[in-house]
Amino acid sequence: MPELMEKIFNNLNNEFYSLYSCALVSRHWCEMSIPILWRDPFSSYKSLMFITRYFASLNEMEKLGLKRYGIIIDFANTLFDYASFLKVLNLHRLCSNVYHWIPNQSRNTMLVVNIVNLLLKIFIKSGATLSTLNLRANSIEIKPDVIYLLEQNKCFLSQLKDVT
Amino acid sequence: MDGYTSNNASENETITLKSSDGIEFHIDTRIANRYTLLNNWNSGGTYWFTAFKKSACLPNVTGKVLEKVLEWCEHHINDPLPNYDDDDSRRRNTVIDDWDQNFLNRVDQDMLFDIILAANYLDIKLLLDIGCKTVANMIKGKSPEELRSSFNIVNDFTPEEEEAIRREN
Repeated sequence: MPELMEKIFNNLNNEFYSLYSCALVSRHWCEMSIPILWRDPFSSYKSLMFITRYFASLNEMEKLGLKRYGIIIDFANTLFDYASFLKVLNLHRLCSNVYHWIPNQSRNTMLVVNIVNLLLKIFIKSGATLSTLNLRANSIEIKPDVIYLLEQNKCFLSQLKDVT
Repeated sequence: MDGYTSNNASENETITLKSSDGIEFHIDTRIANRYTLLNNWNSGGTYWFTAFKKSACLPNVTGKVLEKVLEWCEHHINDPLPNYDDDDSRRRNTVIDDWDQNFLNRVDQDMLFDIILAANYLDIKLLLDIGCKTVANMIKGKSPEELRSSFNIVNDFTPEEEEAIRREN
């Protein structure tokens, strides 16, 4: 029963390696565990390569824009729309993950701001519904097009249980 | 005052539960009163309790499983009622106490899954929570191969899919 599987896997919330093992057991186990694995990746993932997966949904113009900033990544299509699984967003962690993800030679404050805003747009467009949002200790500029998208996609913040 | 003493049931009052394979169990009314579905005779759930509200047939639970579920219910008959509406308090309550741990460790895997299904069906939330937590503990730290053999699951990925999951996660 899917809802019971979900209940069982929810007990493994912070067990990255166990969930990763579950994802490789079978298709059914994969479909049940991947959304949990990706609900709070900015605090649980060990390698920052996961951020790259989110850019698979970009259009050609946006991909070109990233390349122009010196971000050369593999934009291959992914098995899942990982952005849609996001439940926990801590803006400070998002910024610090993005900062470390950008290659040294391309890193600058403006680029961090642009990538963070681009990721926010990807999350909002994906249909994700957040349960936790932490806006503390952050002065990053949120661009008008992100705010506009938020107004168009009210579901993104409609299930919030915890805002700090 | 304990949760169960606030209802009107006397200690000697019993009702009869009949399993899918026809085995009858006479249980203390206080057990039925603790759990929503068992206690659901006023909200259209007439088949749980017949006209005299003294017996119920459970078409989805066998006698063997019902016996274990009722053993658990009887052990917990005097527990204070937790607040089931509060998800956080339920999560905190899923620390498995020694008796429950021992109770679930003594059953084989098929019975454990049957108990979880029955707890879900009968809406016995705490038993459902600790059952799911026990299975989660069985999953912890195992490799995909170990999980397939423990839970008897066939790997139905194509090699390409398996490779993609490894690459993307």
